[in-house]
Amino acid sequence: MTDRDENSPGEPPDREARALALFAESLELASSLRFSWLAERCAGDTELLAEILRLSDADRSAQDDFLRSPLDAVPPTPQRVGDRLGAFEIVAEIGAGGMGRVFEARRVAGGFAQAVAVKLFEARLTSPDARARFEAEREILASLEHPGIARVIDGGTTEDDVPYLVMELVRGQRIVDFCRGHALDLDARLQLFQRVCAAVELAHERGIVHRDLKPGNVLVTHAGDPKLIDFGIAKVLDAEALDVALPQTRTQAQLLTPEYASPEQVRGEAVTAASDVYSLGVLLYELLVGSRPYHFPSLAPAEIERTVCDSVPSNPSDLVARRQSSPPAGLNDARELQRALRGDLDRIVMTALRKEPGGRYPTAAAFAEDIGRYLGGFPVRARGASGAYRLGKFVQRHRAASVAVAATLGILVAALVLVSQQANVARDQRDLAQREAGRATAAKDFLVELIGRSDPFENAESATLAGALRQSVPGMAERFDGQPELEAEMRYAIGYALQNLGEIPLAREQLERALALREAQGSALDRAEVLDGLGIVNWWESEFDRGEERFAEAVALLAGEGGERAELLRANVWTNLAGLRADAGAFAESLAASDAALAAAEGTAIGAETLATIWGNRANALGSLEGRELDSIASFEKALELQAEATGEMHPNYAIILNNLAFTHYGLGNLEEVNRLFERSLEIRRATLGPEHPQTATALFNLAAGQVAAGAYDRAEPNALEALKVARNGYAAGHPRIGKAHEKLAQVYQATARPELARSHAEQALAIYEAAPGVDPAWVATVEGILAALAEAP
Amino acid sequence: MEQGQDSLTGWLRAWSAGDAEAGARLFESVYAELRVVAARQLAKERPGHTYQPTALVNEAFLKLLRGTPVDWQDRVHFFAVSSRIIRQILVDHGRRRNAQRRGGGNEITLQPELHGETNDAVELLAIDTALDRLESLNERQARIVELRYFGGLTIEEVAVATEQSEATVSRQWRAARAWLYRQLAA
Repeated sequence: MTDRDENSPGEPPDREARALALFAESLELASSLRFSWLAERCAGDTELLAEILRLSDADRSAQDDFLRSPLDAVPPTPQRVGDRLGAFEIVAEIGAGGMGRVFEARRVAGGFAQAVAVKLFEARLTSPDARARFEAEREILASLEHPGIARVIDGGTTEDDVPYLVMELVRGQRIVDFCRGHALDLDARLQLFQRVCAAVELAHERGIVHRDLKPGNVLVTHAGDPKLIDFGIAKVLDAEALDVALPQTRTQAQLLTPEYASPEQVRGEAVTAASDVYSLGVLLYELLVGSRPYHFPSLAPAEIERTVCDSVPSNPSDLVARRQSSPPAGLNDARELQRALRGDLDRIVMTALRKEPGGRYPTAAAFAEDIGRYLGGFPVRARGASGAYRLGKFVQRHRAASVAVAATLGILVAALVLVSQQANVARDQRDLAQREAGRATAAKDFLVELIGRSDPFENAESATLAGALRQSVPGMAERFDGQPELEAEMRYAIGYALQNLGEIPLAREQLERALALREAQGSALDRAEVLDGLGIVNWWESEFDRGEERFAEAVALLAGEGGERAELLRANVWTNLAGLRADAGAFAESLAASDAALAAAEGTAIGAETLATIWGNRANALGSLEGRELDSIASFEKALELQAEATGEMHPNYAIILNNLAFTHYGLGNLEEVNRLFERSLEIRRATLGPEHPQTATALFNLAAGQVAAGAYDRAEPNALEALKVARNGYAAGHPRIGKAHEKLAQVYQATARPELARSHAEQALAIYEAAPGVDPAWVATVEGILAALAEAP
Repeated sequence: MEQGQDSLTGWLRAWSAGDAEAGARLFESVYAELRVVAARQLAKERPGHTYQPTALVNEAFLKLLRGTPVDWQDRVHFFAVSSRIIRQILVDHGRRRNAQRRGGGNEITLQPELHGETNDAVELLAIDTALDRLESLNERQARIVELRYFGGLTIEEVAVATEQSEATVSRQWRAARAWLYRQLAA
């Protein structure tokens, strides 16, 4: 406000009042729609519009802590040294942290010498209630006994109402310093870390979450034993739970240590054992690499949240490969360390660092076990930051469409044609190759059988096809002995199909062998084709950088190549690259790849169905870009048009595009449109896939969820009931998706005042979630919230 | 306290149900209690140590309702009443402090904390003035600011106290906050 002084009239009050009211109202809209709505409302009154824009400007400029509290002053910190607290006397201050100060104290009563640490919190307990809860928390912590955890011995409040805890005094080094100082090698670091996990696990079994795991809280004694301090301390003074008077100057995000905080902590959501698993993941990352996965440009809460919640850290091995500095003492040089980390350890660390709590190791013990598998040379369970599990995500199942599904069949058919030709050639040279002809015919029969069994929409679940392909691998070298071209073709076809079925390690092996064969004697086009397949494997494994390289190499090989096969392949590679980038969170780059795919497809014989996929990918990327929702909708419409042209509306792909379009509308808050789209998608799936197909269940579930969101409980009920029925038929008993259907039903019954039914479904959902491994704690919290609300109701 | 605890919770309920007179009586009784608490706080105040409004209200609340179970809505309404009073007390206090400082030469030795404190008091008074102006433009928004800023109520609690949806409160709060920011940044 620089254009105004005491004497100028400023805005007339009525205009200013109107601006305030309109600005408030406009906040209901998505930011992309706000301006046009406001412009319309202002109806040519540019002064009014300008005033609103100034408010909008101020809204952006105001710091988060503006108007947070009237008083910033923190009470003066009294001297404590020499004070007596219960049986202890304070000797010296030894540290200060986010929540208070730490002192060394000694026992002066009770007849034996004991040095302890006393933590004095920066807070006052002003009510008996708060004191009682502090005491309760303290007793829970005091019950925690494990050689790897510093014990809570005593606690209380000082004369001036400051709460304190007396804890075992640990003399040791921060784990990171210990590892460096003792030059521990990779295996020794992993073993030490496993012991940290064991201590965390014990606490979790007692229902205690550390909440602030970081090197400063994981010490190693001179004897080499890890010891965790400050276990559960962060919760003792959880301001909300305890209603204490904490200084109001600190935001939640600043209270915790952002480098180690999980996305849910940064967002202020419920903290669970999975949050500790995440922090352990950051710690392991640091132990193995020497630096942390995230670095913050600033400590602004919004910046921290964006970094932790939205950006994907580099795989440990990639970071080691990229950076200039050498690895910490004790670890091998960068090249060897990179090799050691690549693969299993990357995957282990990245699993712990997943954004969604449910995607991480379910327990600290599971984390330690997987490290044990690595150390013992067994295959690990971890699947990395992403991977096939994305396919299984219930609601988002079809967001990242690839050309893979449709292309699998095409490649198997192409292989079949080639095999048949080989068989014919062999047949023509009777005297020469009777044996080869037999083999080629066997391969042909085999492929025909495979194709006959496959269903493009069933094969993600089809064990038969995957099994058959797996079995085909071992005999392949022998079967195609002396026919390298055919062998390459078959390995490519099998590898591509395996990749499509989520059999990633086997697929990678086949594709790499195909690539080696084709590098020896194949065209640029042949190599590009295999590189495309390998890029997709990298994509599924979240090796985004590597995948990007493979696709780029394929694009480079295709440069200047003409002909239909090259044209199609070029468009496919760009399309897959668009999908990879979207999964890597690089939506703007994904959009660029989709546009390149469209350019590559221009003027070629590429089919409408592939074009529909490209437009669909483009639309998904736009839907994730701030303010591009309307463009996203336009792209979806193009995709729908093309899909309809290729297959008509009654096709599962058409239903997928409708489903994804609904998500963009969901982001805009157009619930009516969302439900209309889900309804149509459901109708199509019922007609084309049948009422019992898993995709039909997804549509039923999405529709029910949309109707619950819109408050249309009466319409949601039959859909949720049917989703439950289909899920029960389609999934093994106890599958979390069955629980999810129960959860939706519980919400419907809760909202329509049928508490008995609501409770019954919520309990069934809870039972399933609790028994199933790796369920997102947020799901559990939702159901527990319903049960708690029902318990409170009269 | 002259009136029994029963009448206090009774007033809270009546006031929640829209009885304006019960609200006025509630205001009076809480005002008296908050004054006592604040006076004691001020008496033992040390340089740089201002009281925390939430603690203040908590203490008054506990004194007034000793042992009486209060449901959440009543509690929220109590805080709503208190936030207006706190505004008054803080602003009075800030004015006095400011006046003392301008007068200079008195016994208060505030040098080490002077910087931060001056800003606090000045900002408080500026907000108070701006809030008066906001009230003339949009009373609803001014009330929300009072509850949030002086009363320390969460969005959810403001929604209960003012019988609006959380989404509405949140939007109105954001707009008012932007407006105040413009005023204070001038």
